[in-house]
Amino acid sequence: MIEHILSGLAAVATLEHAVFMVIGTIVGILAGAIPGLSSTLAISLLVPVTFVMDPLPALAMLAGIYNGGMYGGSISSTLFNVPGAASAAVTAFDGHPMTLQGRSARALQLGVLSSFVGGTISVVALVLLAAPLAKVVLMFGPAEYFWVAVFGISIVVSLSSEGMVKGLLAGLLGLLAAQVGMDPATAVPRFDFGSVYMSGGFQLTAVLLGMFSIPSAISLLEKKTAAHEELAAEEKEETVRLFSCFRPHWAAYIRSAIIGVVVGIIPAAGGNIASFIAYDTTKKLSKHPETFGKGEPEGIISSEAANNAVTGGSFVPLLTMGIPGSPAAAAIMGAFMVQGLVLGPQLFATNSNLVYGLMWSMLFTNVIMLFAGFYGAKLVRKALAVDKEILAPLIFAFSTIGCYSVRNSMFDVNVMIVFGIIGYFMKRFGYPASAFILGYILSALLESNLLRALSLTGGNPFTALFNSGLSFLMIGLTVISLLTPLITGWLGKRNRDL
Amino acid sequence: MKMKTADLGVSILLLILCAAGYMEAGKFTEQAALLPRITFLCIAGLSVFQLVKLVWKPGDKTVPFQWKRVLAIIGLAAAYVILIPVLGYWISTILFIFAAMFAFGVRGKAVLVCIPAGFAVFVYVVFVRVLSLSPPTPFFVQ
Repeated sequence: MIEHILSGLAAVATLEHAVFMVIGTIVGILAGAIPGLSSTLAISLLVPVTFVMDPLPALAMLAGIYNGGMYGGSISSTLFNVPGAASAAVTAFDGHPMTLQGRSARALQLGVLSSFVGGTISVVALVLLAAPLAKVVLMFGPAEYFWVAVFGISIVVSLSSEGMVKGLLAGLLGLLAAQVGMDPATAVPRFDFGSVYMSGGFQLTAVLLGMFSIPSAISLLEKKTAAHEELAAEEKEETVRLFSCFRPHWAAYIRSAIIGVVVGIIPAAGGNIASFIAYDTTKKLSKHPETFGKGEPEGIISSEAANNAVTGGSFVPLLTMGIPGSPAAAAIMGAFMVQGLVLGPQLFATNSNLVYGLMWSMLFTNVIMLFAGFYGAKLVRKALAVDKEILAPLIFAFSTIGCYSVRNSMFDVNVMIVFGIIGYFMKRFGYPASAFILGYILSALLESNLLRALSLTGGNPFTALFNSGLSFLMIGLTVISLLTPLITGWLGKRNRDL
Repeated sequence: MKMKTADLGVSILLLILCAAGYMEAGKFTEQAALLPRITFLCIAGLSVFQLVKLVWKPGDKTVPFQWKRVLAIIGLAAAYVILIPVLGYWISTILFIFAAMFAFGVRGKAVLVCIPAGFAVFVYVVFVRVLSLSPPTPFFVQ
């Protein structure tokens, strides 16, 4: 194995590869930072271009886009509360409050360092654990996936600062919004009021931009304050050295990266779910959970380390079984197919240079991303100097074209505006948009696997859902997730009373 | 607006939504209705819980609203979205950015001209030239 790893390194250690990795990483960061675009879209657009390239430089460039795109989403999340990608939505919870406190450069630097740590740990996991972890994933059936989704939904409990009920209501409303359109098992149209557009359901990007970017733009213009007073009137200079960001929070980095790797391995889970789970875990284990959502550095760290760790994790089932673990991995699978490469265990035997070269490329593009992001943070934050009366209309217009571009649909733009208005009032009355989005994202995973599990067992819910150790493990995690805030709240109250 | 009033309104609205939605779900097949029914029941249960809690909960807080400004923003955004299919993306976007900046106090002539124009050029380069995507065209061109 060592000689394969070293020959992979030798294969990518050329100027040609370096150029493609730099190009890929920068394109990825830009695609990730622009709402409506994503690394998946950028990879999909470039897959036909890779047909005329050699396989390894092509894959190195796509790996750069994937890594850069995952990080890029955190830039607009942090600066403007507009997630560049679904996986960066969680980053906004603490990233944007840090910006409002005049600590945007620090927030961006934490974001890129966490992305680097997450990505690097995921590559190490990919190299060492690809084969054994793939076997565990094969043990996941519909019941286990259903419980994974239930576990994810249990996280909404800790996302609301206004109480558990509001968090749960927001999560359930998200779940409900995702049920508009055809049901995943029998394609029966639901709540579409006879509209062709509604029968296809609401596009995730439209809902996401609606719940995050439109309320932000409205809030910016709502208050009549001096120019950009709302956004970091006085940017606090914080001299930060690269590794001084790591030491105080090392456990949050490592733990979140591991969560990201594990979630990334599970096909269809993805960076958005990973970042929610990592954020929730970090908050529950923190000595100061009350600081989360108010500019807590570990909030950014957990989200970004987890979503970038998904990159390596999603390559495990892709390379070993030909099953992509994320939409971007599915797009990269297209590049393998364009090159005539067959994914699966035999790939390691027949094209070990390519496989390990790709792993090295992922590692190197992480390093490129780290330096570009860390030292570019102070440059990027200059976007905050723009007056909010100028910025808010631009956020509207940019969200509109980003939303429209996903499937050339004005219906999606209308959906975005409607969800934007709903999202604004939810925000003002303490119903967390993050819980709504989590419910929305997990709905398909929850329902399709519930129906599949029931149909496999003739409709008996007990034999369908309580049939394996992995199911009970997920149920246990869900119970812990639900009870932890209650127990910590009760203990805190008791300590205060004493 | 008082938070209690808002929560009361939300709870009642959700109960009405649940009643209507549950009945609508009755028209679906058993499989298709399963999750919507569970969701409606849970929302209804939580709404009732919230209503009960509101009765017992002491104190209240006020959520400040700048209604005129909020309605102006929403109105401008709605007009923008309605105008896109009529005038096309480019004209509507330039008009929207100009109107929104002007309405909220920007008076510099150079800014009012350069920002919409610069944004249009940026979108054209990134979305049209690089990504080959086509923004909405006006109805008279279709």
